[in-house]
Amino acid sequence: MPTRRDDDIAREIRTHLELEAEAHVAAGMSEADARDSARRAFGNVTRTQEDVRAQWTRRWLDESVQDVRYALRTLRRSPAFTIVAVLTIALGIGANTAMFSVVNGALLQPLGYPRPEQLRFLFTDGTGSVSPAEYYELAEIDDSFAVVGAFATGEANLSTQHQPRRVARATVTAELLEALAVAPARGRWFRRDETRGGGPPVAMLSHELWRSAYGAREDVVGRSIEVDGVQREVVGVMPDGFDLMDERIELWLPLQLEPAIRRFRASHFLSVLGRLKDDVTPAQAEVHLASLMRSWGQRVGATDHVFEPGGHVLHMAPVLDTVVGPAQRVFWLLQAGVGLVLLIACANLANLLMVRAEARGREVAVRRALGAGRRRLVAQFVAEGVVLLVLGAALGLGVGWAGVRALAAAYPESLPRVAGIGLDPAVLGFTLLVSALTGVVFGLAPLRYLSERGNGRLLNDRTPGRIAGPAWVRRALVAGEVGLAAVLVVGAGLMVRTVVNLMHVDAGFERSRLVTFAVALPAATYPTSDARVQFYDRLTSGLRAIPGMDGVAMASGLPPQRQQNRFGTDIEHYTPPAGAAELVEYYQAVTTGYFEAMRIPLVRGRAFGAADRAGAPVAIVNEAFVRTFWPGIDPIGRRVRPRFGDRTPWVTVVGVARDVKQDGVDRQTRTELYLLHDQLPRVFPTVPAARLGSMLGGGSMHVVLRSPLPAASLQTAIATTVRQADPSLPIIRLRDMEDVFRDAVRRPRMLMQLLTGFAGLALLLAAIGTYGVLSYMVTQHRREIGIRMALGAARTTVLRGVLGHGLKLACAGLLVGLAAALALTRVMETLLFGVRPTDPLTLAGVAALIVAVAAAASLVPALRATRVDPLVALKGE
Amino acid sequence: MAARKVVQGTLDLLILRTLRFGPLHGHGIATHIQRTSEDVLQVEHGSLYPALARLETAGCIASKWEESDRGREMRMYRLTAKGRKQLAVEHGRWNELVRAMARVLKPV
Repeated sequence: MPTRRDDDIAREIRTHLELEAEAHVAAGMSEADARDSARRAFGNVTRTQEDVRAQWTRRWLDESVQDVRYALRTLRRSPAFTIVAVLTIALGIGANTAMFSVVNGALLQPLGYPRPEQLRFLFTDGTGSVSPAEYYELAEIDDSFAVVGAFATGEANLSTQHQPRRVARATVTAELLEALAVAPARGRWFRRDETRGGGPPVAMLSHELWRSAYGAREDVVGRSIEVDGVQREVVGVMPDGFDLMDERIELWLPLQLEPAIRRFRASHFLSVLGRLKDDVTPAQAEVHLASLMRSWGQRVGATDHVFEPGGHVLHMAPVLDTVVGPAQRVFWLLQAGVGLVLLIACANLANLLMVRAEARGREVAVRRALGAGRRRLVAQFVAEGVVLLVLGAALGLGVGWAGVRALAAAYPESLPRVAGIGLDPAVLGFTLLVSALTGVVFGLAPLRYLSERGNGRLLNDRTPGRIAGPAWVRRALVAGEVGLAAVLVVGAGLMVRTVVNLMHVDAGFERSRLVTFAVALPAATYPTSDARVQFYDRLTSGLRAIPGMDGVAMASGLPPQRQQNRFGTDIEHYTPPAGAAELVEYYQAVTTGYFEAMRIPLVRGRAFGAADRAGAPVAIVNEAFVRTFWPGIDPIGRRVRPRFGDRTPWVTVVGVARDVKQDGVDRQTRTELYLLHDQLPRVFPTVPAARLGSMLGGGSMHVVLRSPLPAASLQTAIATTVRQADPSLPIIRLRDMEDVFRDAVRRPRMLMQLLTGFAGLALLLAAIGTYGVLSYMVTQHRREIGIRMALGAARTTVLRGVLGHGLKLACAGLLVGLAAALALTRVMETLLFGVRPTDPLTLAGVAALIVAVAAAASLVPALRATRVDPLVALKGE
Repeated sequence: MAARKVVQGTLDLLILRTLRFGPLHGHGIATHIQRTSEDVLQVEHGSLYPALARLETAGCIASKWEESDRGREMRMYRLTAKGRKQLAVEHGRWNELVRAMARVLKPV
C-alpha cells in the first residue's frame, strides 16, 4: 500500500502502550500507574501519529507526482494517440455538458417562486383561457386555493426618450402577484383596489426594462411613464429574472375590468393561476374542482356557457409543466441523442486504450523482469489514464461552456427559461460523474489484462495480440458504435424530412414576395372607431404609394400562426348536436383588398369591396366553416350573428375563402369568419372601440404588402410612411413572410439541426473507430498478408479482403442499429410531420449513408494492406 | 552515568542494527535498544514511530501485521536487502565519526 491508514497507525501505538504498561505491571506497579508511566515514556501520542501520517503522505505525493510526470512524458511521445484520446473524451463530455446545462436550466430547476409546487395553472380546453365571469366565479367558490389571480399577456407601446418601443406586457390582478409571492426589488405590488374597474393608472417594470430603458435609476418609483398613450405611475420594480410563464415580461399593468365585462361569459381572454392552501394537496384540489363543475351553474346562478363535466371543462396543471411542457420531449430527446454520442466516444476510447496497452506490453514485461513492482506499474498506468481524463474533461468543460453559449445565441426563442441556463454546480457535478465513470469503466479495463499475463509469454510471444484483449471485444465495440450512430442518423433523417414537409405545407395563401409588419393603436390616442379607420386609410394609401407595391391590406391576425379567439355565434340553418357549443374558432377582421393581397382564392361568391365599407354588414367564411355548419348547402346569402351582447345584427355571408392555416403549419384549419374592419362598430355596437382591437387580435393590426422587394429594402420607405401617419407608433416585427414561416417551425428546426449535428459527430467517431480497428488488424496480420501475397494473391484481393471485413462489421452494426431505431423512434412520433417513425425511405437512405462512410473509413487501412512488402513482412519484427 | 537522549540521526542506525537479528515490533525495538545499552540510550518512544515510517517509505525496512504467540496482533518490522546495505553505510559513517572525534579529543 502506498499509504497507511490512520486507524492502522493508532492501533500500532495502542499496542505499544499496552506492552509498556504490562512490562511495568510485571515489575510491580499498579495498573493505573503503569499506564501513566507508559504514556509519559511515549511522549505526545497525537504528535507521533501526525508525524507518521505525514511521512506516508509525503511518499504518496512524491510517487504520484512522479507518475504524472512520467505519464506526461509517455503521452507526449505518442502525440497521435494522445490527441485523439483527449479530443474524443472532450467531445463526448463537452456535448453532454452543454445539453445537460440546457435540460437542467430549462426543465429541472424549480421555478423561482417560493413553494412552486403549490402553484397551479387553470385552463379550459381549446384556447386555455377563461372569461372574466368564470374567473371571478372560480375565485369565489373554489376554496382549495389561498389566492387565485388572473392575467393576460401581450404587448404595449412604451414611449421612451428615443424611439417608441414595443414591450412584452402582462396585465395582472393584484391576487396574481400575491400568488407568485415574490417581493419586488423596489417599491410595491399593485394593491387589490388598484386592479379593479376604475383603478388608477399604475405600472410595474421588470428588472431588465428598468436597467435598459431607465438606467437603473433609484428614483424610478413614482415616475410617470407613457404606455399606449396613457400616463402611468411606476409603483414598483420586479426583481432580476422574475418572469411569468416564460414570456419575458417587461412591463406589468393592472387588470381593471369594469363590472359590465363580468357579464361576458363567452369572451375568453384571461389566464388563471392560483396558489393552493397549505393544507390542500393537488389531488384534493383536483377532486374538489371536478365536484364543483358538476354544480357550477347552480352555484353561480348562470344557465348558459357554464363549466360542466364533458362539456366546457376547467382543468388544473402544475405551473412548471405548463411553462416548459411542449419543450420537455424535445430536450430529453436531445439529451438522449447526445448520450449516444458519449457512448460511442467511450467505445472508441476503450479500443484506443486497449490497443495502447498492448503496444506497451513488451515494455511492461521487460520492466517487470527487471524487478519493477506490479503495484507501481499499475499505478503508472492509472496515472496515465487519469491525466488523459483530466485533460479531456477540462477541455470538455470548455467545449461545454462554449456549446451552451452557442445554443443560447443560436436559439434564443426556442430555449425555455434561457436566463437560468448556464454551467452551475449540478452540471459540473454531472460532468465529473460522467468523466469518472468513463475513466473507471474503460480506462481500467485494459489493466486487468496487464496484471494477469505472466512475463514469460510476453517476452517470447512474437505476435503479442493477447494483451489488448480478444479481438471480438474490439470488433463488437465498433459494430456497436455503428449501430448507435445509425440510430442517431435515423432520428436526424426523420427530422430533416419533417422540417422539409413543414416548410412546404400549402398554407392557403402565397407567401413569397410578401412583407408584413404590425402596428398597435393605443386607445388613448385613438378613442373612436372613426379615428382608427382614418388612420388605417392614411397608412394603407401611404404604403400603396411606395413604388413596386402590388397590394396592401390589413388583418387582425397573421397566418400561419395566430391567437385563437373563438366566439359563440348564432348560425342560421344549423342546430348544434346535443352538448356541443355553437362556436366559430377564429374571427378575422380585414380591410378591403386582403384576399387579393394575400392571393387567397375565393371558391364561392366574392371578396369584400369598397361598397361594403358603408353598406350592410357582410361576412366571408372559410371552407372549414361550410363543411362544419352548412355541408351541402349554398352558403351565399345565409346569415350568422356573433353572440356578443344584444343588438348584434345578423351578418350575411357573401363569399367562401379557401382554408388558410391558423394554428401553425402542422394543424388542420378550423372554422373562420372574416369581417370587414370598417363594419366592426356596426357588428358589435355594444363594445367600446378601444376593446374591439384587443378582442379580435391582441390589440395590433397586421399589415401585409405584396411587393417584389424584400423587407430589408422596404424598411426605410415603410418607416417613413408610418412616421408620417403617426410618429409615436413603433413598427412591430417587420419581416418577410418566409421568415414568419421559418419562425413558426423554429422548434422542429432546432431539433433537426442539433440532431443532425449529433448524428454527424457520431458518424465521425464511428468512422474513426472503424479505421482504428481495421488499421490495427492490418498491423497484426501483416505476416499473413505478406505470406498470401508472396504466394501469389493479387493486391486487389487483399484490398477487397480488408474492405469486406470493414463492411461486414458496419453491416452487423447497421442491422442492430436499424432494429433499435425502429423500436426507439416511436418516441419521436409527436414531433414528426408528414413522415412515419418507421419510414422506409429514411431507413434506406441511412443504410446507404452508413455503408458509404464505412467503406471510406476502411479504404485507408485496405490500401495500407496492399502496400505490404511480402519480403519485409516475412522477415518478421 | 546519566541517560542521554538519543540523537535523531543515529536513531535510524540503531533501528537498522536492532533489526539485523530478526524481525521485531516497535515496542520490542525500543526495549532492545534500552536494554542493550544498559539504559544509557533512552529512546523516546514517540520519536521511534516516525523514524520507522521514514525507514519504511525509503525502503530500508518492510512491515507486516502478524499474530504473536499470545494471540495479539502486532506490526513486525524486518530489514530489506536495501536496508542491509544502508546499515553497512550508516555503520561505516558512524565509525568514521567516532574516529574523528577521538582524534580531536586525544589528550595531548
